[in-house]
Amino acid sequence: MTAQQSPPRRTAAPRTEWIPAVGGRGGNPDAVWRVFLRKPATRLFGGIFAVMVLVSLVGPVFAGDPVTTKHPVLTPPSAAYPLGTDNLGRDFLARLLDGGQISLLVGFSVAAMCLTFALIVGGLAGFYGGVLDTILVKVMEFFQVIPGLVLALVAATLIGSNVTMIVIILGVTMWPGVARIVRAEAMRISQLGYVESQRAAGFPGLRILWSDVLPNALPPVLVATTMTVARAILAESGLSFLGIGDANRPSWGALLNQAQPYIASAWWMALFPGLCIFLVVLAINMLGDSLNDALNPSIGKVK
Amino acid sequence: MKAALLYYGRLLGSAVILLLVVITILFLLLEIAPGDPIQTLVGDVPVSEALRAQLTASFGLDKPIWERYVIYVANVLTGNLGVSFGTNVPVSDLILERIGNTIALAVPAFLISTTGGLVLGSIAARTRKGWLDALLSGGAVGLFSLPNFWLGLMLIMFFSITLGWLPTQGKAPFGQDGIALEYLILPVMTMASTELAYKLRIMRSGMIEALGQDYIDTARSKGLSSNRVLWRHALPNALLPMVTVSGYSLGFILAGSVLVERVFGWPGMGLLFIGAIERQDTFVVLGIVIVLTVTILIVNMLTDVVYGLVDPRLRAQFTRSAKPAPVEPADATVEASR
Amino acid sequence: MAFLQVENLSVHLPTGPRREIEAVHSVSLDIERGDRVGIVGESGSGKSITGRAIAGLLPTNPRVRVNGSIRFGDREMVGAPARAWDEIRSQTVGMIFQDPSTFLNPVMKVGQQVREAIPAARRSGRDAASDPRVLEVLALVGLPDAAQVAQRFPHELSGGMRQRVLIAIAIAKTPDLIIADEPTTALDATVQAKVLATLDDTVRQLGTALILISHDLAVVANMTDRVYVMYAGRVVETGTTRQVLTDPRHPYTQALLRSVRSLTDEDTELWSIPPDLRREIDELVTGGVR
Repeated sequence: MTAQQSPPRRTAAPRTEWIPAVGGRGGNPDAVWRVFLRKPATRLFGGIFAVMVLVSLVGPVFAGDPVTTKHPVLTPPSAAYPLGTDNLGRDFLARLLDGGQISLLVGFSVAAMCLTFALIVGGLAGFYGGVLDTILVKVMEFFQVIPGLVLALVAATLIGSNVTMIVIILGVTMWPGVARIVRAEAMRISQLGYVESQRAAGFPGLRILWSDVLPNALPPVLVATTMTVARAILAESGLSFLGIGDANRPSWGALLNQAQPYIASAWWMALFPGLCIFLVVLAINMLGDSLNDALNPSIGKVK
Repeated sequence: MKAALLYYGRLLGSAVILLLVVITILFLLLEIAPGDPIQTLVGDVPVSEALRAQLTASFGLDKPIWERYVIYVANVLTGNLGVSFGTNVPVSDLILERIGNTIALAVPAFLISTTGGLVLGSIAARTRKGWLDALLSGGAVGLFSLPNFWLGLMLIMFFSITLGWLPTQGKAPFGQDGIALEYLILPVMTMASTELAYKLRIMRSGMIEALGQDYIDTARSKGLSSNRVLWRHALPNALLPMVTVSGYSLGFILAGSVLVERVFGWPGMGLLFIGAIERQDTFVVLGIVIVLTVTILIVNMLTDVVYGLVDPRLRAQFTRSAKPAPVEPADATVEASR
Repeated sequence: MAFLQVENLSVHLPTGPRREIEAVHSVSLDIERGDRVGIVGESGSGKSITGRAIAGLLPTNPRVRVNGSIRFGDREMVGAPARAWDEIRSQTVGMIFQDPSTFLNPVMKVGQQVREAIPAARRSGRDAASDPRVLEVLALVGLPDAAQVAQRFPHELSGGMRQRVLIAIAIAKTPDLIIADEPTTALDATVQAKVLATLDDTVRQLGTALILISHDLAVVANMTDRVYVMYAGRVVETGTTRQVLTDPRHPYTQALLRSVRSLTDEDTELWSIPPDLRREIDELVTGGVR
């Protein structure tokens, strides 16, 4: 038998895929990214999302003043006022676009905050284990028991209700969800051989955590963070619907609150803000789903 | 038996600690809050010095923080949740009055979302029609992407205003005491929507995962029909995560009552809470939060207990009394060597 | 007519959204009643897939393609409807799987799982632990405390006991053929010997045909009369076990045997098989090697 390598035959041979040293999560990052981008769901909802973000960022510049009350009161959508006017004679389209900025800003800020806390707490708990883990898990449990909305309401009333406070409050109530996932992944990865050998070699724990454990824990964490953006936007809309928020810059939820007395007479005031929330949240959720599929491919359902 | 007691004891202990922590945090939040408590108590009327002194004494506001904390905790634990500012009605009375209405929404919402999620999730998981699965699955995502209070508003707009089939607000016609069914429908639907969507997805993924397990192969190898494999092998395993999810969902449903009651003007605890927040009626606010937290803690504990009993892998901890372990087969190493 | 005749079997499995692999290529075997046949090969050789194809237990993914012929007597099974397969699996073919920790339903009592395997007893309402047929089967596989075992859940039993339960499930229907897919790979070495002895005993007592699939040559050597050697989805050599293992003709079989070290070998380098022999194999096969 010759010892030389014969080139593998192309037919029927599976294409070699780099399986990362860590637990076979997905394939190599490039392949995952490409699969993700190719999915029709990604393109459709990514498009919707991008449009909405763009419009929210840029729209207010073109749309006119959301605060002036000089327009006729309560007119339905028309050529002059594409989304009608509200009960104080303000251009609704302008208000909607402005509101979008707040809703989206809060959503992303909260998610960023959650991710940070989650990586720190979850990473430490999962990697070090032991007493630290037990304590941190208790902390996470605590935040999950109290209904976030209720706590947020109480805190907002007592402490203040500007955008920053809302972001902080929501971040504080929502981070445990992501932290649990970070912890589970960190635990799984920390038990893998090559992490153990790094520990045995004497590498400082924090360094292993930062450069090896956390980066490999990212895939499911990214999916969870995406979903967190969606949930944060929904939570913020709930809070502002109940009146918590900056009165001068109402977000979509606050617009819905203002619309409530007029649902019989001005349907456009109740329809559009909610529709916007729905579209953005749906797009983000679908993107998260799509990302999840790309990371954990299953070759069809087995029934 | 001892193992069981220890387990339950630990659950209970955790719950109590959590409750104390919640109470403490609420108390601290109160302390941080800006504003003059006396002024808030009295409202818009200017306060005289004498009145201020009197109120301070009676509410114990002049005592050091530690004493106030202990008094507060002691009060809560004995059921004294303070009184409502302005009306002086004990908070516990107010809550008892309203809690029934909220439960009248929460329980049907819970039942509908759980059964609906179970049934639809199973259908989505096992159907061979890809479009049906996509419809149910995607529909679920759509449903929990909706702000449920907006769904409520849209339902009102459609069914009440446009079609006139159902009333818009309240729980019964004016003057009537109980709850009329047509008033119940829209709020319950709104409340159940997000949870149903969520449970559908959980059930679906639970089923799919169960169907991919190895023991399904063993079941098929016995020549069992695919239906039997589904109902007797996959389903029981898929239901396990549903137990925990459903149990915890009751907490979310209760918390969500705040929004739903606001939309429908439903006189339950949620509406009471909102009103109290607007009026800065502190004791009412805290009282409701405490009642809510206690309820959720109890529900979650019960869920954990039920799950422990339902999953045979955990059940062994509690119910195994003196069953002796089965005998290992006789040593056959001699026969095995050839 | 052979009890089981497999001709030119090929199985294609999906490996990605638009990719598939031919896991089994042109495999033929025949089994008579009471035959004891082994299928050996390394991981990925397609031996498990072949075994599963014979039992009709390939994944139900519609992208899985089976071509060729699998005949039980004169009954062609490739392309047969599900009910035909259900029948075959109910009466004729039993399968023993590899990992006792995952192949038993964790929430169902063991006795009930065994009883389900007996077609006649399936509808019985009685408690499975008191069903004499169940107890008999459990005793047969060397679980003397059958009544106790039947009441247990899988996680309450040891690995060896669980594997015996899997054997019990396979034989409970008194099948004509048992396919054992790596039945002892997941077990400790000491337990392996016991379980294999049990399997051997049982098969002998019942007179069942046996297809033993394993990568472990020693296991196959002890328990089979004939053997098929597989590599990369193809059968590369076949013959009586004694012949193939003492006088292998095919370079792969030779290589396989050479890479097994006995306890008494000293100072010899570990021999390993070069990475990809498919081209060589195809050349040799078309050149007329058995």
